[in-house]
Amino acid sequence: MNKKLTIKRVIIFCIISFLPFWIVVPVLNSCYGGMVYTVEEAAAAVYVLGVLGMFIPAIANLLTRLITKEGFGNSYLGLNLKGNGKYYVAAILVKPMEAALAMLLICKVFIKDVAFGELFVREDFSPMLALTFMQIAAAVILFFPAFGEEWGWRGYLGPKLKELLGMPASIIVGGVIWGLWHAPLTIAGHNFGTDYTFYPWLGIGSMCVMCILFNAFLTWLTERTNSIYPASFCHMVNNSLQVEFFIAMFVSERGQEALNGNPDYHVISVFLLYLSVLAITGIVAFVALIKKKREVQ
Amino acid sequence: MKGLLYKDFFLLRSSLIFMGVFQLLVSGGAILTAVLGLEWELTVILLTACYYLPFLILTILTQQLFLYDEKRSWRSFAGSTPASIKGQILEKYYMILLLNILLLFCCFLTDVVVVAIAKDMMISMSIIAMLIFCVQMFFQAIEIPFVIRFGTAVGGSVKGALLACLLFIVICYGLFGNISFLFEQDVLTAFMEWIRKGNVMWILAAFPYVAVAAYYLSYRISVKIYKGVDYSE
Repeated sequence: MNKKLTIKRVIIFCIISFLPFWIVVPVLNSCYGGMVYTVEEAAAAVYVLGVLGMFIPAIANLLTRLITKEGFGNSYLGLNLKGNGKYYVAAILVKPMEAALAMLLICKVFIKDVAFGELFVREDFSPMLALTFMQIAAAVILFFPAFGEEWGWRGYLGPKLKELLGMPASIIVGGVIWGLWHAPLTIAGHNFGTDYTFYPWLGIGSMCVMCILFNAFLTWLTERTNSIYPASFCHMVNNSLQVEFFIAMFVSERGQEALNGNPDYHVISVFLLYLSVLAITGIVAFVALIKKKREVQ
Repeated sequence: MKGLLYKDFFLLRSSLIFMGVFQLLVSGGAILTAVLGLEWELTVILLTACYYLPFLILTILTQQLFLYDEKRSWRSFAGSTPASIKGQILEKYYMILLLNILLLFCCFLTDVVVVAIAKDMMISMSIIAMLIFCVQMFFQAIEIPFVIRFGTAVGGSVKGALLACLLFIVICYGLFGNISFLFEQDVLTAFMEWIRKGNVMWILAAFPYVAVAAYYLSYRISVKIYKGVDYSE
């Protein structure tokens, strides 16, 4: 194992991944006269930025391999379905279950005036449930942007950091790098907006913590299957079925009014509650990865 | 498996190049639709057609995939390779899936560009592309076992018959079912409302899962019925 070459590859990969957002996002901010995620007229630009931006890590993977003449061995591009069905199922189902659990927790914490049982009584409950299943299917089938991210982070950077730092540290460092990659977007108002205490540092820090926890689960999926596709499906399902989606789909109108009327119900407190649910799968995956490493040793 | 995929890509290279050029033209057409800023309903119909056409052409191309392997001499040889008959059939399924995913990816990218150009005038239609993909996979799942067992001509006829049945059902529904949404001023909004109510939403939601399950089941059936087949030239 050539550590110097691996460090060189990691640096090249990070530069190619980070540069586009650090150039494009400030340009967009100045074009729209404000942080793009807070400007209504920039909705289309934000959508395109988000979708195309997710391909940057995959492009960085490709370019780094070409520049450093690494070749395409260990690229995690095989499906490896045999014996790994349970990991594919976990990849698709765990995140919606987390988001649903987070929704229940949020309703329990922030809604006091409405009986818990009445919170989910809706005339259109059946079509909303159908729409949720369709959204899951759509997220898996249209997994391309998530593949763009995963082939970069779990398909390239993760194994390189594991070579250099070992498994536990690679998950933490990989998560921090991934969180910092989002920093220009976080500064522009992605996920948290711009109206919160300690903006943007609290947002960037929260993003890093979330990415560490999510990285653990995604790395576990990738290591177990030796394939990038379960992590891609998981990532896309996570992005498509967030806790806000579940609240909009399943919480009654009265419940949503009570939520929006609560002054404590704001994006950071919701995010911290969601993080507590995310921590369950993140820590379990982290421990499973450490245990596997010890068994191999 | 990789070797078999390379073989098929090589054999189909001219058709794939044609597909690539066709896809570029169709994507260009879709983007032009967005640039022209036509009425929303017309744009949706034109975009749906743009997303569907490449999949239609791919259906013809995938028949060629099996045509080359229908010669008895190749079939005898194929059974003696390390991949075995199961691997040969699995490769066909992977190849067809890969080609369909590539087309879906092109539709997805086209959709992103259309949204970027049309801005607030257009929503993302990638769900439509996904449903077209699922329909394609479903019909392939029905056709392929017949192709494996009886040849491309019979497989194509079976698919044609199935499409004819579906058309008949649609015509029957058109004559006797509830089509009041067609006479609304805003046809597409009324159509979306009709889908949202009733069980149509559940049928649409379940269909992707059915299509995936059907494709896998189709592979298992194809492997079972391939054994002992004796083609006559």
